[in-house]
Amino acid sequence: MAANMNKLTALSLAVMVALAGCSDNDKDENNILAVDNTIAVGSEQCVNGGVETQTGVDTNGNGVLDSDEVSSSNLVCNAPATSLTSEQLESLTSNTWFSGAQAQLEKTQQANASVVTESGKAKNVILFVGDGMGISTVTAARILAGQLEGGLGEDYQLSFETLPYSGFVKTYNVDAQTPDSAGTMTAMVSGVKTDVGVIGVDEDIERGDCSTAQGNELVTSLELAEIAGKATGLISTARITHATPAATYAKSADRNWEDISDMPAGSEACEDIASQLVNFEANLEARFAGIDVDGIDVVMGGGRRHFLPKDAAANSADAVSAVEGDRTDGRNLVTEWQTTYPSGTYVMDQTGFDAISDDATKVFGLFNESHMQYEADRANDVAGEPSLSQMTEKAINVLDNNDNGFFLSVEAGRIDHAHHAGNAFNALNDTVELAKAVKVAMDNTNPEETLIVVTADHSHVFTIAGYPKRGNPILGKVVAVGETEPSLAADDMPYTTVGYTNGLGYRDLGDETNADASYLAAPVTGRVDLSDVDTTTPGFHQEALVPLGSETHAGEDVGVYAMGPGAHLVTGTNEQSFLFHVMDFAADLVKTADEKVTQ
Amino acid sequence: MKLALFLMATLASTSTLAQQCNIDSAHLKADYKITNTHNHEQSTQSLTLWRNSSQVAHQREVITELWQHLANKQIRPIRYFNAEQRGIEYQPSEVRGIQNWSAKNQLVDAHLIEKMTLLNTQGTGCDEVKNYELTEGDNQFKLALFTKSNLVKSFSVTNNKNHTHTSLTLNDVSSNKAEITAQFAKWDRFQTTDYADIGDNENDPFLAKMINLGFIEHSATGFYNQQGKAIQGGHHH
Repeated sequence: MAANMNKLTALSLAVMVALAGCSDNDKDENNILAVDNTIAVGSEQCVNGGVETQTGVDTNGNGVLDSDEVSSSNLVCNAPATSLTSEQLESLTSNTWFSGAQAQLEKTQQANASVVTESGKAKNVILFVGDGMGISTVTAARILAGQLEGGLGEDYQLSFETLPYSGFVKTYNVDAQTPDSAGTMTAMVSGVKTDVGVIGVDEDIERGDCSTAQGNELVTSLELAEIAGKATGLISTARITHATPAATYAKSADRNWEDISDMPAGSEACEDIASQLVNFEANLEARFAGIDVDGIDVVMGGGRRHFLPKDAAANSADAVSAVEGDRTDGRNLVTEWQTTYPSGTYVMDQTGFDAISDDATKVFGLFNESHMQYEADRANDVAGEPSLSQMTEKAINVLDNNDNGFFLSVEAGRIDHAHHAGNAFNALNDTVELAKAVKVAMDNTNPEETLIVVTADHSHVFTIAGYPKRGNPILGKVVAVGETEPSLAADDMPYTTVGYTNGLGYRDLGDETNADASYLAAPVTGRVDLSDVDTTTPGFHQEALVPLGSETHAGEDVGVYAMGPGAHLVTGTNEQSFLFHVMDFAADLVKTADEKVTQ
Repeated sequence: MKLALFLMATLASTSTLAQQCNIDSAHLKADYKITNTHNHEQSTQSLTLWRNSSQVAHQREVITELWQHLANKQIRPIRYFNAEQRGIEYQPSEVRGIQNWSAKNQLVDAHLIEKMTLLNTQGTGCDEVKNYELTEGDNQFKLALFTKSNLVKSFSVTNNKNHTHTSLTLNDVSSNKAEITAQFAKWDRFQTTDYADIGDNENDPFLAKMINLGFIEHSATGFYNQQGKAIQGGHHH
């Protein structure tokens, strides 16, 4: 409206000057003046700036074009800028967020320029799986890791977050919207999605029915690598017979058939998971006629109970049960393994682990009767046990003796257990330890010949909520921007940043580092006054909305991160079974194995 | 009085001389009656304490809690569900502060007994009983303890302010090692699941029940910590 008014005024003046001009021209024909006025950038008339030229007759002869002497006006706006000067960009380039992101872009460009798109260029493949390590777990662990190093946390990068390629993975099982580890790991290492609760078999099986297993067995990337002549390794902080590690070597109608005592009557035709591990070489050779494999070279994890007979005489030094072994068939699979591999090294504690030579040919480490300890609880182990990163380094040192390369699967198995217990402290600390293990792999392998893939099998109902200020302790109570005291909810009580949608809910066990030590109390419903509670301690269990005896998995996508030959394929949103194909493409697993079989 | 005489006779039968006591306190089965009274309303529960070397079990109608005392002094709990013949195994929990094995092994925490005043000692050999008393806050504690077997003969907590009275009374005791060993072997044959694995087994009806309902209900169990408070234990529901 203002602009229109000005135009009208200018027109009126112009008309008046024109009418008066006849008589004035007679007096003085040389007093016409023109004045250029610069229009500032951002002005209403010209958003990019410009020049307004005003002309008129200096009727009063003062040498200045007074406003009442203006007879015409011409506005010339600047065209939009086609380039910016360094001065104009200074507000951006001097900003560290800007320059940091720009540097990252250059790094990404370089990664793209050096991408190896040919198949078969990965001599080695390492698959890291954080069991239950959903996106929110990665984010919170990143912040915790940064804060543990004295930083604010949010800007920190876990080792695997620096990998050049990443994407999303759809985790659902064939018969389940929210999946379990058995079906998801089977998809990752076999390329075939299957039902919840089954190991290494396709969906044409009935869980728990042994008779349906035969004929539905899948082939895994570890088996293909073994046939292809590569060294193979398997690490988990869970029992080595647990769903995730088992999916790499076993075929089972039920994930819980970890030893023969777990199997129901009528399933005699099926072999328990622990037995399949020690018989891996013989079973694979029986399955594919003519092949000659040498068995899994490195196996390290927990789950000794499934390998030992139910006889106290077979107990290990750090047994936690009166009778450590569960096997009811009298077999001692540890001694069977030692008979099969007389030059192999069996270890069950930190001392034994430390003594493993890098030129060892076969390594079998069973460090706990059941699952290995949470990383934060490791010091409490009876006989001592190695960390995930220590096991990863040792495995690589042993496996890389094979000139054909190696396939290694590494699982941080207890992230999942801590979440099930509703204990973020251990879930996040075990995630940080997984990041350390990935860093060990990055530092101890040649990136030009090693594909490293880091992912999760599924997520958990773990949330990061509220509006905490930057640098607020991730395990702490929400303190808002500009504040020093915790924010209060509508019930006038503080609340934590991280929490769970369901589960056992609140409990405060203080310095207790074992997330499982929460069993003595029923699920806590409703809100708890946390005003005087230190929520950052190892034993604090976050509040939960829906009371359940155990917190549950979640169904959203998980992340996948990758580097090395074939890593460029890790992008977009894919089915979990896609990851098998990435590893196969990178290392030509199927092709090489097929050549061996048909030789 | 009849009960006391019976108990004393039972214990005495395990010794050859009155002054000696050959009872194997590491292998015992002791039946207790727990009586809770609140404002003249009374309820009773039964509890059997089982000792088998480094294992102790508290058997109740629905649930049996079993603890294993490890070489490194950690305590590993297992919770058995009697009717279902199933069990949940827990990682050895790092017991914070003062070790509480005594509360499991003898039902009353040794640290509470240390705070109590010894009134007198009665009997000899296996029959030797020490009588203790303590008044702390509104609670009055009374304890009679067979000293050779570290077995509670009777224990009571009275709170006149809250009008509550809880008593633990020994009904029967046995040191039949064969029976004890067989019972622990029976529990050992129950199908067990790691607590950490419950969340991954939603398809198991027994475990699903736990996941969906929660499986612990607060209930006085008859054993007491050093503050003299009843440690909450479990009842399946």
